[in-house]
Amino acid sequence: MQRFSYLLGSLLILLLGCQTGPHLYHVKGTVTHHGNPVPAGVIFFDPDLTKQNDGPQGFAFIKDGVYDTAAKGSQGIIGKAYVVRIRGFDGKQANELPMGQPLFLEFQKAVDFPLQDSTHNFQVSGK
Amino acid sequence: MSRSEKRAAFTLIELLVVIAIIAILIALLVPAVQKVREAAARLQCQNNVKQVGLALHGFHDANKGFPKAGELSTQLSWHVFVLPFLDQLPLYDRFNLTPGTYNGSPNNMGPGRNEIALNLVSVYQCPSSNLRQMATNSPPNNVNLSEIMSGVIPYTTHYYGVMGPLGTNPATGAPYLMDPNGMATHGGLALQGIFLRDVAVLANSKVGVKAVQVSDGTSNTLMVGELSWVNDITGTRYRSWVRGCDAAPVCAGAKNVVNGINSPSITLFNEISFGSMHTGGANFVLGDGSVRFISQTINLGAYRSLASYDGAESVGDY
Repeated sequence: MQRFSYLLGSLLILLLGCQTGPHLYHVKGTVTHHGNPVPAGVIFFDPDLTKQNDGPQGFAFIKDGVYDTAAKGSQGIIGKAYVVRIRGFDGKQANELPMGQPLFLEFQKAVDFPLQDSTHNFQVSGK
Repeated sequence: MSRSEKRAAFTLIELLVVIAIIAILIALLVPAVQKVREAAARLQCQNNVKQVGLALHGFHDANKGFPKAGELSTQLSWHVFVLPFLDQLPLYDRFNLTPGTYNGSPNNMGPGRNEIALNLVSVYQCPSSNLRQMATNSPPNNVNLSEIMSGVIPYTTHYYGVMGPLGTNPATGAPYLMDPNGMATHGGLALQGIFLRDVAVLANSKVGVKAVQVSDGTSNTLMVGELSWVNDITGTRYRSWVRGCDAAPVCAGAKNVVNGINSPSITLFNEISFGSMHTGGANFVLGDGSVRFISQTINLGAYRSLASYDGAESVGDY
């Protein structure tokens, strides 16, 4: 019986070990285009390889000008140097346009993230 | 006799206790059964991608190279050309291989092309995903009307060729090679993956990349990945499984590796991200035919490096 419980315990530890990946921090904030909230879009956080930072990509949806990587279907970041890429759309869905017409070309910005959950707001201007 | 008269029935408390115990047991059992069902589906899904990988090797043996992502002349996908190696020769023989669009008239049927996608090829679908066709009822309405045949929707596939990575190659610091044609609308086409886009010089060739060209090593290069996710926020953009690439250039049967696994990358058709309904990752078959379940927390640099066949990147553990 004791041997069995040891086995069960080690199996549990093994299973828990499989579940853990890198620790991810969450980012949230607002995205505006010419001062107006971006109705729909996606925000990607690419680890900046040129600054020797490799990690999982972070991503989140933008809805009515806000995003949060803690939301369902999103993923957080490991912190440090990232390149943030934002695609914003007018939110008027149509055939082959899942988020509507693009408001601007992909917006990119290099950001140094802290090693904790943080809030970052992005102001996009131009087409 | 007197004993049975004494206890003719259960008391209410006894009944409640029994019901409570049964309820607890069922509550324990039901999630376990669901998990086993998903595990079986995941295994079936892995087996399918393995079969697809073996079929591609069969194709390579017969034709001295891997198929192109899609043929420009017929607009058919590589999925069509490996059918003989999946015991589907009768289906393959029905295809019209003369030049034309995959969804030519009448009724977007081809003919002899899109209409054959009314056949479900089960090895091209992952049982963990319940979406077997283009979704026409999803709120985002990502519908391609020009492949619906008199109201009938063709079947799709959940396994897509890897066209290669986009972004910066960590080994050289230079951008990965790509065809920027249609970059803003469809995402352009990556050029360093095992599935190569078709161009005029390749028009008479059945093959694109050959295994000897895979200088990163076939065991370090992603060949086919799973794209079977369903997302109720973005909807989906599944298309007919016979549909390949056109001159736009738009590729249905193969995708660029730009964004992470299970990311909401859907707006640009050529870079719809790989992903699945399994927890936390997706299945891939590598160039050597081995199947890996890759976690969505894989480093983005490593993931893109794996997508190229000649990038000379060093990929650590993943």
